[in-house]
Amino acid sequence: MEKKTAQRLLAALTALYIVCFSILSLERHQRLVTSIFDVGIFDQALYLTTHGESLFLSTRGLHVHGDHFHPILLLFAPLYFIWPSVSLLLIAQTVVIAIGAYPAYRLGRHHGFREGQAVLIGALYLAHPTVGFLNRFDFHPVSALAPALMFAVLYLEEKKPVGFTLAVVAALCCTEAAGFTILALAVTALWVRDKWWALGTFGLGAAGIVGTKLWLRHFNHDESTPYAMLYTNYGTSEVEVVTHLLTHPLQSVAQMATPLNLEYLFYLFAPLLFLPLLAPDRLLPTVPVLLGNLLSWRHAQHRIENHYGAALTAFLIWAAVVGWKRLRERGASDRWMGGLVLMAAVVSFLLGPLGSKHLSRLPERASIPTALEQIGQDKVVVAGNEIGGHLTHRDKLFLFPNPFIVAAWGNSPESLVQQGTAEYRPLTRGALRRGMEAVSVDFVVLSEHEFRSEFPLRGGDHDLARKEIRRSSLFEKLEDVEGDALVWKRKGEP
Amino acid sequence: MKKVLLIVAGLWLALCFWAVVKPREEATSPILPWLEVHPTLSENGRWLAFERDPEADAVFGRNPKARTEIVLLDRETDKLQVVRDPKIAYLSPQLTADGSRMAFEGAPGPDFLSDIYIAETETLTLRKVQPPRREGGHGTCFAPRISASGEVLSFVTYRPLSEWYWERTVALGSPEKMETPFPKRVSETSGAIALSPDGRRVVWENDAIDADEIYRRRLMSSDGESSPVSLDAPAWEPTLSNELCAYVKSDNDGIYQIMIHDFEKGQTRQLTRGNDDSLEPCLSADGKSLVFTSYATDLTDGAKSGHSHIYLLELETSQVRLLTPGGDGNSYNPTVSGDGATVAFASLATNLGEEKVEPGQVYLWERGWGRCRPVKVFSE
Repeated sequence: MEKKTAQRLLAALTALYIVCFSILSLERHQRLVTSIFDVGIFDQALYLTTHGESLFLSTRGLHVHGDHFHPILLLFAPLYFIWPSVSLLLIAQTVVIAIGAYPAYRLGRHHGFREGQAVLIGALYLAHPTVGFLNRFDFHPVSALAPALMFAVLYLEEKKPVGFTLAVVAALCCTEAAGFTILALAVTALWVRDKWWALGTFGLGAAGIVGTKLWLRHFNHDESTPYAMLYTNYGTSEVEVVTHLLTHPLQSVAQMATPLNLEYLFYLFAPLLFLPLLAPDRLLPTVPVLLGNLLSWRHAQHRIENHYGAALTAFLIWAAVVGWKRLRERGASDRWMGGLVLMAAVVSFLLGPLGSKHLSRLPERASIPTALEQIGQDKVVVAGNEIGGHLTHRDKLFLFPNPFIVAAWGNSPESLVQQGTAEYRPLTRGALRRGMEAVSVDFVVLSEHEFRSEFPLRGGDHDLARKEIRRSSLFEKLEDVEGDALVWKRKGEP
Repeated sequence: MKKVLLIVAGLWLALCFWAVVKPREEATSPILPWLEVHPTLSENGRWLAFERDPEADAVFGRNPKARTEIVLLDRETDKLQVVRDPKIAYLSPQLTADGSRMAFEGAPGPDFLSDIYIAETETLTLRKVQPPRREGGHGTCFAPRISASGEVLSFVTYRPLSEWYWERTVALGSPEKMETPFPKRVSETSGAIALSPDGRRVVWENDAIDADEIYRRRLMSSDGESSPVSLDAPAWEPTLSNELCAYVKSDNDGIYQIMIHDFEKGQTRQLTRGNDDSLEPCLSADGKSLVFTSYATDLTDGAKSGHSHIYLLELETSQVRLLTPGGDGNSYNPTVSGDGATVAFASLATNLGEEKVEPGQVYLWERGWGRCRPVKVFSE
């Protein structure tokens, strides 16, 4: 296959990916599967940033930059000036993720694979479940980590220090956790390149860790974010957790060997025919995030269906390419391997979010009433998690039942526990009613039963809170609103 | 081509920069005015304890370092103590009969989950109660209830129902050894639990989903030895004396009313028939008095419409007394001493005492007082 043909084929595959995943993302938004956590949060963050509003995120109860380190989000701002919309975010995210196929292709070429085989490697990237589910999971700036690290890996292999530095800086701007990945990449750089590359990479990673910590403290009332508490089985700080792992290695491995973790690992490696295991040196940078996911008590981190694999994809692909190369060097047939890899790409694509298993779980399309668009941007709105993503263009949007009762709001440890496990102080009817009376909320918007998301409450408490809205004399239900949204307006509100 | 790309990138970054530095409006915050809540009295009425949140006035811009503290007042000596910690919020105090001990919640603990503490009120020596089950991120403990003697403790905690789902359940035992003794699902609770003064009976709102997939809050009662039995459903907010259980139930018009169940006679009757919600009942230990919050305006004269008020009901005479006449804000969280002679509650009203005060105070009422009085302890 000629270079031009190969690149056209790769472009076509990338375009197909962008079309398919853009449609999937937009459909999910229309079917109320997206939610305030997280598309609503980032949509409101960009709305506040570009509209000169205060940078206090009412959806989360903290400063826009007080929870995660993601200045990469600002790169979307110019687009947002033109088209401020969740749809823009979902499509832009798909395009950014898809771009990672190009460095994957070039990585294949760098390692001596033929054009067709390199295209296949690009396809492996696009088809990998971590990429698909990263794309499907609402919107999160951490999505840009997958292509950024893919470029970092490519430029490290191609010995292009400027490109490598830019890619690493971009990766560091995606999430505060990227610094640890870059530190681990420094060790691989020592292996692959030399001590100067390793030192430079280490310096970038260390600067990233220190810089993000300072940044987050600055925007979080001089407090650390509470995410270290995800590892309280092992310690209450990064140092304690690492010490525990080093001093109790067997116990830690035993604790990690749960069926859920093994399934998670299967989904990471099986789509690449376990080839990455032949290149453990290239897999080393996955260790911090992989351990983070396997050790966390937060259920979502052990599932491929979330965005927690963003930092893994590039290194899995890299290790798969090198693993394949090592097999070739031992005489494996190109034709057979190519066929197997192609089959793996197809199967892993089907295992991903576009597979029938996941598509069949999508609910029917919701009918979202136009009345929602008529709720003024100056109005204070409380919305259910599932429908709040359609109401984020205002400075005061609260995730139900906030602010009547504070739940999963703010950056306290209690808030993180509530988000991860729904363990919180019980609700009472009196407190709910007093909350409704104390805070002047103009509209409450929930959705019909089949679309509702109970997050951040438990089922019974969600039920109770909904019931109290229904029976409150402060609000009147707008009966003329057609569709799947239920809208209550404060009485006397024009 | 390279130049064009560089110019576009430069413009792009300039726009990003503009988005960051452009002038911004200040956030205006909704107000949550309650500062002092959840008062509790010892049975003899001598000790009063309540939560105080020094930062509870604004939703936005709240200082995350501010921690709720517990104020403890010995009414005999007027000695005031504050249980506070710069890192732990102390909540939900409950006193023993003589006020010598206090159980309360502390959040977050060293592993970031809430714990239950017991304090000696004279010395304020604190000790943590060992939770029945605890794993990272799971097993937090809330809402303690302590018996009159302090020997029996109950609170809400979580235990695993499946690998990743922990049900909210009732913990019962002595402060030295807590267990989750009731069957799964049966003891799944919304969190409203009550412990009788003698520590022999516990009642809780059961929150398990029923066959119609409706969360029907069912009141379950157990003496801790035999299997739990259902008292009523749907019903909420139980409170106990040794023989009686008062709770909230919706009437035919959907208004919340106070009910009472006599365990010995096996009889249940409706205590209030107000035109708006009555909530938060609290029985005196002798079972003769009941205080509650109500929005109803037809229980007695003098209740201002639109606000919740505190009522004292003498169960033997069925006499209802309004304790917050003319109050210009919601009054809530009532509690009563063992003989019904003293009542404490929180209020957003400013005009309940002799002088006007800021909203968000704890008030005391005593038999023989003309009006209730705010507990003024915060000039310090």
